[in-house]
Amino acid sequence: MDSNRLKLLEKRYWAGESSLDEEHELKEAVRNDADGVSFELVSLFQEIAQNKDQILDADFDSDFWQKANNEKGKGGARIFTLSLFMRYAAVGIILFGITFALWNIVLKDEPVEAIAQTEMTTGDTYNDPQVAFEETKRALLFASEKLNKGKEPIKEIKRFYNAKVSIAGMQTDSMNTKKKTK
Amino acid sequence: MKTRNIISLLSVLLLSISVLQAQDAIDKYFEKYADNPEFTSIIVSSKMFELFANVQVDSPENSDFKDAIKGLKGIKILAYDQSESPNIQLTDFKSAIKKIGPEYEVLMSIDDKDEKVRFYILESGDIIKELFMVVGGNGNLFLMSLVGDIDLEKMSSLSKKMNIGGMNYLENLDEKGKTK
Repeated sequence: MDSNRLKLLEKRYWAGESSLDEEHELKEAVRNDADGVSFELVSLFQEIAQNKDQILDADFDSDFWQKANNEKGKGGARIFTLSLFMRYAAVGIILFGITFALWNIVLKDEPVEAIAQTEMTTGDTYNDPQVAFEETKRALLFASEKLNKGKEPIKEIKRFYNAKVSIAGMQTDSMNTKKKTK
Repeated sequence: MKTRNIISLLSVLLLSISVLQAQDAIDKYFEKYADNPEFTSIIVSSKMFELFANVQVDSPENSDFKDAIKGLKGIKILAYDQSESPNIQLTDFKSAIKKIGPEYEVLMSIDDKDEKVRFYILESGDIIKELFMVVGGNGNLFLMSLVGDIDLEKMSSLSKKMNIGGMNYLENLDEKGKTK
């Protein structure tokens, strides 16, 4: 091949003006070690030819994600997006709501004096622990007796159920005995 | 993951708020009737319950009782007897139980000829934190709120272990705990 033509083609190739046919012509010249082709072009075409058959293996994805995750922790400016802002705003609103609710529960719009007064009026009825103990005992006994009163019908049902089960058991036994005697 | 943690934290906070709000069902009645001379009100605070540890017990029954009230933090009682003031209709059993919030669960219900009894409980997890008792009938109304860690088995075994009768409690209440 004419070395001058090859030089012209190479010039067009580097300038990005060559056509596919012209590139093909250049590749043929490189393959045949033709004169007039520069060393750079030969190296480039050889490298392209070598890498042409390369494919991504199965580990590529896992390697990539491993590298990407390692990069993540290295810091860098965090982009303050709208969704992030909305998330912070939502948390802020909820915390404000909780604070407001707690404030209302604890203080209930009452001034400090009123709270102190309530504390006094809802104080103990008895000053003597012995008397309070006796009164508590009587009150709890009252509740205990009512609880047991409520439990009575349940006990009756349980007793009835147990009796029913034992009668059914006796009937089965007698039927088995009759069968054996026959 | 962070969002999930925040949501869990907020749920716990909201739950605590609802428990705080729900505490002491009897408080609603106390606010309204504690200063009313027609009502008998009794309060035994958590501080007093702490002092019970120093109370001298002279019988095994009292010792059993001391054991049974471990974990309790307070009692509030509000009662009135219509026969003492027949012309004043303050409140009745029906309207009393209407005021009980949905957070309370009915534990037991007894309907007798002369008397109606309701037991309500407020639970936190598996632990009963409040036992609220309403007794009504024959012109009487009795409300009792028991706060703390409540063991119903221990409660019901009290009257079996102790020979002191509790059924006449309402009769003696007027002389002992009348509000001034």
